[in-house]
Amino acid sequence: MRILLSNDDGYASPLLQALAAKLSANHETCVVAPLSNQSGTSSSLSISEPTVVKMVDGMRIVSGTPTDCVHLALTVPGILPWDSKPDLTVSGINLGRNLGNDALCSGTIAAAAESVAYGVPAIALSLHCSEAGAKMVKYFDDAVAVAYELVIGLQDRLLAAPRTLLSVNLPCRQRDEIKEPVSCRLGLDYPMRRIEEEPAGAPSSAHECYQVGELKHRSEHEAGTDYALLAAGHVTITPLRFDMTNDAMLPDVASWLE
Amino acid sequence: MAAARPRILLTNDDGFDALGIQLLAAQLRRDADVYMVAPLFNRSGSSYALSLHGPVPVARREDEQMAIVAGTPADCVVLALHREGFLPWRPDLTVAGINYGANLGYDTLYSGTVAAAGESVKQGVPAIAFSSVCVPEGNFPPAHMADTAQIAAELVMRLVDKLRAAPDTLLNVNIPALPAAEVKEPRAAGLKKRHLPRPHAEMQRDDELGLRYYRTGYNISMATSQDDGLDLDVVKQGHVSITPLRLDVTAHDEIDEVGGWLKELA
Repeated sequence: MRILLSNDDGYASPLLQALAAKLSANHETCVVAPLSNQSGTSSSLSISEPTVVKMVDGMRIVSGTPTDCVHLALTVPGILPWDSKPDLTVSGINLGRNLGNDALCSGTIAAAAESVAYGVPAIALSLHCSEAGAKMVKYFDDAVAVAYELVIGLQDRLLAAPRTLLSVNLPCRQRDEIKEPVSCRLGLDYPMRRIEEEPAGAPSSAHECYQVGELKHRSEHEAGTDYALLAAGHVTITPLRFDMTNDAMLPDVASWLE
Repeated sequence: MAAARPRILLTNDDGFDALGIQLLAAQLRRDADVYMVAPLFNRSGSSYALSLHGPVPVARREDEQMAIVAGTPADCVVLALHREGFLPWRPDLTVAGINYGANLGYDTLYSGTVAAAGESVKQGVPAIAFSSVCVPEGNFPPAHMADTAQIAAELVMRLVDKLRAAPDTLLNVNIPALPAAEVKEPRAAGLKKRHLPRPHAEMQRDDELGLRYYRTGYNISMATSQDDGLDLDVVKQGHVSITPLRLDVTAHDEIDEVGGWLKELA
């Protein structure tokens, strides 16, 4: 299998590199990943400035967003080392979860979505670290192993259904404490974001200045959502589709225009 | 007609001084109270990106009911709706645009204009994103922007009560860049399905260092319209296209199937 690997934390992420190393033992892989951390860049596409691609053995380092990486890899001949499309795109493993309310904001998921838009099925992988990264590093090998087995276990299904886009979230804990994967929906309750004043960042005293912060999550999550199942220790898998038309509402809008 | 003047949050992704938002603000202010919160610079293509890694300075022009934000379109709406007191009132409606260039089909996902509208709907404020469909794409600013602004403002006033009653509504509106007399009536239409690669110009290449420089172009999908009643088809016929969008990207109809795949793994 030919696998395109990307992420939004940047090419140097140990989670990306470890997964790439494991997959490349039995498959052809090429990493096309951002130079720098692009977390939260969503489906940004660099159209106002040029994008630089550094060609390295088995890897392409891109001065842009995750979407740029996949867009260039799949549409510009000569970026990937192969003469045909990859069979599968794997995005991640992201350091940090990407659940319901993050689905549109995540660069990890955006890279996978961009792949499916061009006909290559994709899995986005994210690791939920409940404590600071340094304490969780000891579990990274287990996370990479679980992610690897999922990719390999699902490959036939994905290759047979190339419009499939899966978002996977993994708990960061010891292997034998990770519960079985479940297929579930996104939890969408749209909490407010923390926004603090940040006067030190203002160019002058005439300016206001803010730091846009994290979502202020509610403590309870609806049963059956990705939030609830990940918190219970499961690997969560949500099939996504980025055709954004709200088909159910089309007749309403048509009637408003009469 | 609405009993009170509607309160409108106005934003865009081309920047506060773009012709599209300036003309639209002037038109809307005839019938509505408008507060503009718009990016300092052009942030086209920024999708739902937020400035999570650095501070976001804001310059107020109170006399113009305007805040200029050194950030993304999503930052503008998040500041306006998540930061108490940022706006003088809670808006009835958010309007984004008028964008330079069409936002049709899958390209709506890259759009900062549409994302700004989406961020608003998440907080219970219905939203409309407006884009001007100009040919060739990239020939900015589009022609007939004053006419387009008039059409957009009329549509806002026509739909505002419907939207107040359905606050989870997110509408993506594309208006042909034509004189008002040549623009046909609005039609509800889905997003076109086919997504074409964008043109990429290779600007420079240095094989010794392994460096390649690419410029991602505007979409070229205008040439590929089919007679399918979807958004591109509708605007190519000269109509205004209106597409209701959803924010839940869960493929609900695939959950059980994927669950079956996972049972095979066990």
